[in-house]
Amino acid sequence: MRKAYSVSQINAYIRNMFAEDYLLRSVLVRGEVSNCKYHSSGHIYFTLKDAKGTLSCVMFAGRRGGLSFTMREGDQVIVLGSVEVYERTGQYQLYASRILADGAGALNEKYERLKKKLEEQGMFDESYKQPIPPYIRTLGVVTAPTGAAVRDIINVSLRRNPHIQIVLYPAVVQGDQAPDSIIRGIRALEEYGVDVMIVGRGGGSLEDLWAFNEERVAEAVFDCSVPVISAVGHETDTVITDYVADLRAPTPSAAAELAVFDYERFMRDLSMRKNRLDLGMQRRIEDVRARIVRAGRDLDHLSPRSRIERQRLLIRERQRRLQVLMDRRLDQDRRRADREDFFRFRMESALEAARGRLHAGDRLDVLMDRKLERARTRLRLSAAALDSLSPLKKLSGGYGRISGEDGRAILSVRQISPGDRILIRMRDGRARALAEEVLPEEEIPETGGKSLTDTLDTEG
Amino acid sequence: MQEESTMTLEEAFARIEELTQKMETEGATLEETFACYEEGMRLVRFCQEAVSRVEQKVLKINEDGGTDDF
Repeated sequence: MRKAYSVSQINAYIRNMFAEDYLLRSVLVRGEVSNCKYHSSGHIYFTLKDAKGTLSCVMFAGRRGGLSFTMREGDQVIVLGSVEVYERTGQYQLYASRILADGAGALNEKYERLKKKLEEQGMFDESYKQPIPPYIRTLGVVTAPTGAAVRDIINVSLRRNPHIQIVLYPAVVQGDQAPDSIIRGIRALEEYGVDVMIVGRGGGSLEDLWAFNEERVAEAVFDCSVPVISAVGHETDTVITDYVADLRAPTPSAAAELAVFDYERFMRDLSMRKNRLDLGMQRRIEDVRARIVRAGRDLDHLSPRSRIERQRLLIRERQRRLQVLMDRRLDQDRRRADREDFFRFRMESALEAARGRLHAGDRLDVLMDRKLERARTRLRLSAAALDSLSPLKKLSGGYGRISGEDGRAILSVRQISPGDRILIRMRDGRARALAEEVLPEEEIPETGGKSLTDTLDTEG
Repeated sequence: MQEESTMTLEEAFARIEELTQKMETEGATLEETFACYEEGMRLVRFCQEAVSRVEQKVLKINEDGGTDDF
């Protein structure tokens, strides 16, 4: 027959089993508080529950130091303690040594409430967000002076731009003092005068990050005149400051990337701009130079030298044209002359022919002359015959006829007085004479002299 | 025109851009172009000097607002 144990034996056995369990000796239990009774003895009795079960708990008066707040029904708490069996009732319960308010539930709720509130106030509105200046020279950082976050920010920033000035505000980023510390940091850097500010910390639990969900911290970020980049935790963590900041960075490293420009790229950019300026200037100078050359050409064109040159060309051209005209004219004239020569030839031929006809005329003349000659000969012969009969014949033997000035024949010296002028007619001419002296002789009888005198007078 | 010393780099960049465009405009006189060039080059130098200060130590700001090396 098997042995039967007493109730107390069993309870003691189970108590020992619990006591020997490593986990149950010190365990953290999360749950919602219910049936919370503060006993007059100082002990606190309560039940922890979740959706599927309940757990009896007690905090003895001697452990009350482990509770820093007044626990109420519905609080989300985390209880540190041991699970033991109460032999008298055969029940196990959690003997609490510390009770903490639990983030998750309470904080989540608080977070959602605050988020909703600030959103309704418009603090997340895009219109409030300041642009992050692209080329900052001073970067402010509000974060813990130790840890990965500050290292990451400094490393990334200096790698991108070795000339960036980083000013760090060593802030408490976790625990009760964190909100005020962060707020002081934001204000101090704003005061100091940075271009952009990174506010953040590395990853952690919701409680760890809680300061960044505090309303006053959110307000400080929102009110900051310097653009703020919020960089809290890991990519999946989202805090209120992420919403109110001007820019949210998923991590502190990313914040540095966003805040600090790449120095090398900046220099390339600057050099490109410089080149454009150089090019612009060069182009304009070339423009001007071309214009000057053009103007020079124009001026040269107007210069006396070119004018003379042009006129010379013009003259040469005109000369050439004149020459051409002249040649043409000469040619015409020559042709005309040729034509005229031809006419002249014809004319001369005609004249020649006419002259030939004239020679025939000459023969007539000769015949005429001969006829005349014969007539003249006949006349001479007749005259000679006549002449032999002329009174002039009488004069040819040295005789002359004397007449007075009035031409009346003087037949006697008596008709002459000394001093009278007389005319003596001889065979070959006449002489005028002055009668010096008149010497009359014996009168000679007259013989028919008168008729001869009359004949002679008519002939002279 | 703003004094360079009070200019931000973005303003300087914008001004350089403006000057470059002005230089590329037809009809600007040589004097105007040269003035643009001169100012632009001054700004380029300013930008260069502004970002190329000697390497900086990281400063830590104190409660009293003063700074120490970090």
